[in-house]
Amino acid sequence: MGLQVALEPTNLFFCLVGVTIGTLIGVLPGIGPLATISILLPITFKAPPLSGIIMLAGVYYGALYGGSTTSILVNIPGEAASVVTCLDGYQMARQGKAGPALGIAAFGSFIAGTLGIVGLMLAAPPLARLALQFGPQEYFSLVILGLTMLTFLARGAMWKSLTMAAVGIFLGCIGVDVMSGSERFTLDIMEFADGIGIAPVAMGLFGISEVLLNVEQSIERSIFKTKIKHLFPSLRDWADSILPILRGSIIGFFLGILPGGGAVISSFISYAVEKKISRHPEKFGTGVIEGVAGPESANNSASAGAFIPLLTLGIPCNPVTALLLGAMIVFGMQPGPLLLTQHPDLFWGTIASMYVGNFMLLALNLPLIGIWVRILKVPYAILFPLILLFCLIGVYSINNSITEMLMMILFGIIGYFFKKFEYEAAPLILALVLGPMFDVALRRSLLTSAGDITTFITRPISAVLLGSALVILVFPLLPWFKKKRNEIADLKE
Amino acid sequence: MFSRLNNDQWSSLFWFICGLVFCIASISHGVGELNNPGIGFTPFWAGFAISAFSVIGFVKSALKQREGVRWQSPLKGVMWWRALLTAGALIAYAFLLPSLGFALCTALCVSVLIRIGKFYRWPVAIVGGIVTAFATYGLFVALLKVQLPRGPWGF
Repeated sequence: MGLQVALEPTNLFFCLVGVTIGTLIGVLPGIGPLATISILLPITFKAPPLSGIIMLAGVYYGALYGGSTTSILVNIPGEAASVVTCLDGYQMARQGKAGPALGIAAFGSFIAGTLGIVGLMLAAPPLARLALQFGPQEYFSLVILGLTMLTFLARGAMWKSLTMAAVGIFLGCIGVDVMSGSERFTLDIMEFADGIGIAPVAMGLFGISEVLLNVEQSIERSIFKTKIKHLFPSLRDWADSILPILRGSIIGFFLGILPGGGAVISSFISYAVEKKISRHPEKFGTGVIEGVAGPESANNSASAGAFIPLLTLGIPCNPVTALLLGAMIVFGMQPGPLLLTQHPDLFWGTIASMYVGNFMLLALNLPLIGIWVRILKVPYAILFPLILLFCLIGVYSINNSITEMLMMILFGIIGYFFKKFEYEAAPLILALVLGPMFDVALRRSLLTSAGDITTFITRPISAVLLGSALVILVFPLLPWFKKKRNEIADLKE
Repeated sequence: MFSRLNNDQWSSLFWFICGLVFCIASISHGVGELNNPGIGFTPFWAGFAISAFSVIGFVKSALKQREGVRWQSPLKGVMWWRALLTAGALIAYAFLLPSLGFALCTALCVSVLIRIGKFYRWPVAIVGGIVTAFATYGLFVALLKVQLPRGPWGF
């Protein structure tokens, strides 16, 4: 059923558009899938719901394919998940092996993406059945776990990420309360009655702020001038890469499922694992193909794994899937355990389209590498006005509202200062999307339990989720605690 | 005065005050009780959490200050005025769009942005702005039928 839906001409077209745009923005530094999905979101409202989701999902995993091109040729990651690919990929290009590097990145991404989708097909239905037992307590605890995990894995101080998550929860409460019908914090602004829109906030925090930061610098990109040949890896390349690809696929898939995990952390961990188990770890960083194959596979497999909590529980595990969740709700699709039973065509159609998209990406990435390289040469001074313009048009087209346009610009300025003071916006966006669910789940739990807060720990699934969140919060303190304990012991002696 | 506190201390102070404001605003909506939480319940505790985390952050950054971490201007060594001009251009675009219309406003804004980006001469920037306005008008208005404001000349 899924393939039947995914192979419909309309869905094929949107899939192709999505993966092409995804590859393009993956190639271009300065704009990532998050900003792009935000910009395209309003346009997809005019398309059929499934087609819109297929396109946006295509942008997500397409960007992961494209990011490797810039990493290998320019030593600038086109996408955060391709940072690690710079280490060995660029060195391979300097040694005249850009072709095999690009080739194995593309093939590894394809294999890993395919394995990830197979894992998604196998894991999603049983998880959906388990999720039918979830009540408000479990959803509350799952949101807590997701936010805690994301703050743990975010760069920088954890207190900053937790602050951002709390700000996101607060912002998510703005608007009409679904339980009572009363307005909260709308400041008599009509546009706030339905809550703070995810698109203006996301476009501002990730799109506008990124441009504001980039225009401050003079970024000169020098593309490594090498003839790109032998895109198809040799037998030796395959022999060296196949196990890293398989390991990367497994690492990426399981990390992608975890709330807060995702493509970025998967690629780093895959690189660390390959270096650890290699017979020649000292060669990592000098241009070994395993350093490209593993991380590139991991990040693509993670993108498939990330869809499991999204589709089965209705819980996004990273900011990109948070945006996709927002899009699905706008389209009238309610992701969660009932999606599989009530709308199997939407569920399996989304999964099957990812499989089709992976084939398209393999076809796009290898023959069109010359075109992507030319696009890299477009000066940023020409690109950034276009990016800003698309953001402005995109946000205006949602509700024809100048207020929302100004809100996007305001959040762009806020995001600019966030980055200056080293605050990550990702926890805020995730919390903003989950905030309404969190609020309702918390209040319903307390109402049904007559104010008994032990309800969150007496229910087994909720207890496990909250316990895991507590472990993640406490874990970073352990080395400090140990060090302090040793210092005290030394003093006593 | 800025140098007495480091960057993290200043930012945690800011969030502490924000958290307090959120708590006070939530009380006015009604926090309720545990067995009957009001509409201000979740935002109140979110505001409390913001203030609490910022206190932790202030203490941690005070310890780092002892180790020598000082205030560093986030605008040092960058062309921050470009970001300021860019933001100004965007705000002007938003305010002028309803009256000037999409095409003219876009041409003006993009011309300014191109000039900010690379100091191309004004004739080059203006041509770039006009070309962009035409192209985006064709794509979004003519092809995608997006409803964008029309100016006094109908476009």
